[in-house]
Amino acid sequence: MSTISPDELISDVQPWSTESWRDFVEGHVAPIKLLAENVAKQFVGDSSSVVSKFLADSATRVIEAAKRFLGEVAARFEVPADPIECLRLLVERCGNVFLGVGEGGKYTLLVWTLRKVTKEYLFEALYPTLKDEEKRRKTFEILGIREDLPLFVPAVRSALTDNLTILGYPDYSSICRVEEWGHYITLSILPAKESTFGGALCKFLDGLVAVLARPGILSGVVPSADVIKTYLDKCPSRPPELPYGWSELDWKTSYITFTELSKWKSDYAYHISGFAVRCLDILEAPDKWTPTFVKQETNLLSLLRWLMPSLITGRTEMLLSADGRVVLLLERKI
Amino acid sequence: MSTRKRRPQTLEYVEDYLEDLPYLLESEQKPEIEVKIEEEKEESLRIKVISTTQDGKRSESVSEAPRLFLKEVPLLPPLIVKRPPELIRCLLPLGSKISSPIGVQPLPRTWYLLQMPIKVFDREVRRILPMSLPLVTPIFYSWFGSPIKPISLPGQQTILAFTLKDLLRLIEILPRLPKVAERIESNIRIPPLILHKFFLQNEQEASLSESTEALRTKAQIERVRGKGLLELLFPEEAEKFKRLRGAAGAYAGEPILILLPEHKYHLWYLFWVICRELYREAKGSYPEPATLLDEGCDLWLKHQGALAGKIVVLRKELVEDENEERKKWFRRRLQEAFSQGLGFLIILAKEVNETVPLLEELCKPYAPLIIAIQRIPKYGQVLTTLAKTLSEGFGIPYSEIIRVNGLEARDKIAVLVEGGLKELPQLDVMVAMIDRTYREFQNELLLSNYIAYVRRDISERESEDHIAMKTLAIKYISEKFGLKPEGVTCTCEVGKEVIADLYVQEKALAVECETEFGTTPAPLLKIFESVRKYMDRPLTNPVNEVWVIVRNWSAILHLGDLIWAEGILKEELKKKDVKVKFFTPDIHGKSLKLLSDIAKSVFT
Repeated sequence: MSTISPDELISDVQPWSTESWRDFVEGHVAPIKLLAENVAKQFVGDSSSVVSKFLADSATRVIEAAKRFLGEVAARFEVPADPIECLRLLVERCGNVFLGVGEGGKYTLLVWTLRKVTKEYLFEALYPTLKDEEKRRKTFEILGIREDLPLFVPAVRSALTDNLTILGYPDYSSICRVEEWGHYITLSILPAKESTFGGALCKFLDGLVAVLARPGILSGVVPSADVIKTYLDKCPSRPPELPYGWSELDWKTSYITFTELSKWKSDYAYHISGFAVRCLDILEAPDKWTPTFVKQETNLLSLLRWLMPSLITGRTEMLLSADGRVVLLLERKI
Repeated sequence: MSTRKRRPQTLEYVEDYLEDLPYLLESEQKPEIEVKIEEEKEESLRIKVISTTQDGKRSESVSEAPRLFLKEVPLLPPLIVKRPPELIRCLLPLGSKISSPIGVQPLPRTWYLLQMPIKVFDREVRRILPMSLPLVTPIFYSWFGSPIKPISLPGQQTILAFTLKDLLRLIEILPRLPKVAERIESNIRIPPLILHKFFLQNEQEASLSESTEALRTKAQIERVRGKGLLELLFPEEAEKFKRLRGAAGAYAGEPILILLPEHKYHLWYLFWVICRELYREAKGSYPEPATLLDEGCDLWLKHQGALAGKIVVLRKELVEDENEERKKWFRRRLQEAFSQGLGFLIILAKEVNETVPLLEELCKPYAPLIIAIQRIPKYGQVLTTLAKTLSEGFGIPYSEIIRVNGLEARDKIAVLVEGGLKELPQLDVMVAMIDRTYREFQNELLLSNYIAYVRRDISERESEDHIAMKTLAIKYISEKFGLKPEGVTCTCEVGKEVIADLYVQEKALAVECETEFGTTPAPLLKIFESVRKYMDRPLTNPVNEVWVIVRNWSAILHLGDLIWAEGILKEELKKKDVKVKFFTPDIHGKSLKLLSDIAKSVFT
């Protein structure tokens, strides 16, 4: 095991280069798609077929999204006729493209870290290389990040507004509708009109995790390392400065629970009002609050700075209401 | 005024909300109300107000408003504007350590003044009475003469005042007032941006658990059973090849007629070599070859003509109607085949379908075994599959097999492979090269130093193949286990009527070299017998593992069946805790190669 700085990572991957992405898609995603399709077909009825089907579908979406900037994508892979060998190869290939594993893992790691990130953290800490106008434009265009359509903009006119604007993929679970509020809050994740390359790859990663959890007959395949556990163990943990309101997100099943139209319920919610952030026990209109409702008071800058290291690596996750006033925090576990 | 209108439809997608966010912020500042002056009168204005509700509905209202006019206002004397008092900057206390001594003055000690000496006078004026003075001494009178002397009164002690109990408690809980600091400093305590390095993990490998491996083996065995080189090359004709191998191995009592489509690229050569191998397995000797593609057909049919013990290649055109004499002799030779031993007649025909009834007619009343191959895949596919299978089966690098350098133009061909044109050797060149390489490897083994450790078989018919394989096995075992070649016993008796081709005492390993030489009927039975003897018969030397080495041509022709046999034998010998492995010579590595590995790459 070794470490890599984000700047070295982006230099290795060169996300602004379409040819770099071609190698990744043809060499890693396309073979997994073929293998997963085969396993889904061969083991119908088994739970391995369900996860393989999801993985094959998400790989198809990745390839479709990639075609927009790559043109035709070729699959340089021949699926073995032996179904058991297909199972083994599927697990091996999924493991070797998981976050930070081997060469393929560098690509997924880079895409994953751009799911939800503040401009401040993105340009000042994570990838200063993207301050370069041309590189940023190409990278964002390929991945589907739109600066004119951020996921969150603070509702204050301040010099910090731009810094705390959150960029990301609209099609990976982030923006929600508030279904219920009061003693508990329920958010339902909104669907996106279009699939982005980055968002599709993040869903593909959830599919990889589902396969690497090895349900059904996949349990007969033994990988040489538990790459998911190792990754989560090495990720920055959830910020101790925010002790309240964490819901648990089981990564193994997130491919069905953390997707569009699924609902998330919590006893606590973070309420954002301008620059102020309050963790509330009971979410009511501000004029009805009593001090007992407020579990913690902080500010937007501190909240996002505390959250960023664990959020970009995926140890934590954030759901936002459509008006940007309610936030739900989740902790990813396996 | 903003011209943007909020859409009336329901918002359903992320993008709808995100696009709406800036608009909502804007509209908070600028309500969407439009005011127009419709008519200007002398004294008034007609004003139209158009407003848009949140749900997009427009409402209009018209009203009249008086025109604005100027009114003279008397000037006021100048105002003296006093400067407002300056705001006093509040200095707030600094939090850390604030000492706050009690600011209340201590209780003063009460002192009571001492009174001055008091002069006492009698206020009542009384008549002075004559005073009769006693006779006193002169000293007495002198006392009177003195001025009035003060009277000393006793002084009071100092008075101490004590505070009442309740009052005392009140003083104790007096608030400690902070001392106002002279200067306050404030520090920013916003969390800094923290950046962690990412962890990279090495690539992983996945293997199968024991139970899944067993399941896979079973499934693989069933899937590949009956498949060999021919089935891989011509998958659509697989059933017919099963008959060919079966007829050659099981009964071997009659000639087999093979009908091939006439192909400009010498497809027949492959079948020629395969028929030779099948004949060798069945009969234990080489067949006599004859090619009657051009001239000499008449002579051969008339004077030799018997198909038994031969592999004859014949072009159909030569025995067609034009030449009645030749046709007569051809009919006769076919009819005679009913009572001959194994032989092969390969007929090349332009129309295979039409040739089958013709042959059946010529043979009557004898009904021959005809194997008619009709569907040939694309030539490029045949070539690449053949190259891959031969490469795996003989252990010769693929690049070596498809190398075209040094070949004449007629010996190579450009074929469409994976969407691109690629030059490959012709099929007959490829097969001939493999055959040549195999023979040279065999010779190399027979001439190597390891031959010194080989003992001949007890059978007098031991083939050069068998000896070469024993030599290779000694070399491989001594290199793999780091043993001296003397440690490998050749033709060793390990039990009652149990003779191993090779035996390694140190490893309790018995090796059987199977050349499939003259093993008909059912050559596979020979392999079963060779292995089962270690289980069925009493052993004098321990055997924990049995290796079976199969020669290369047999291995690739019967690959599926051999894998199936290995699976069955493994299961059987597992009960006695004996392992079974099937190998074939690896020519390039000059070693042995597991058949299961070959099957894995050939059948996947």
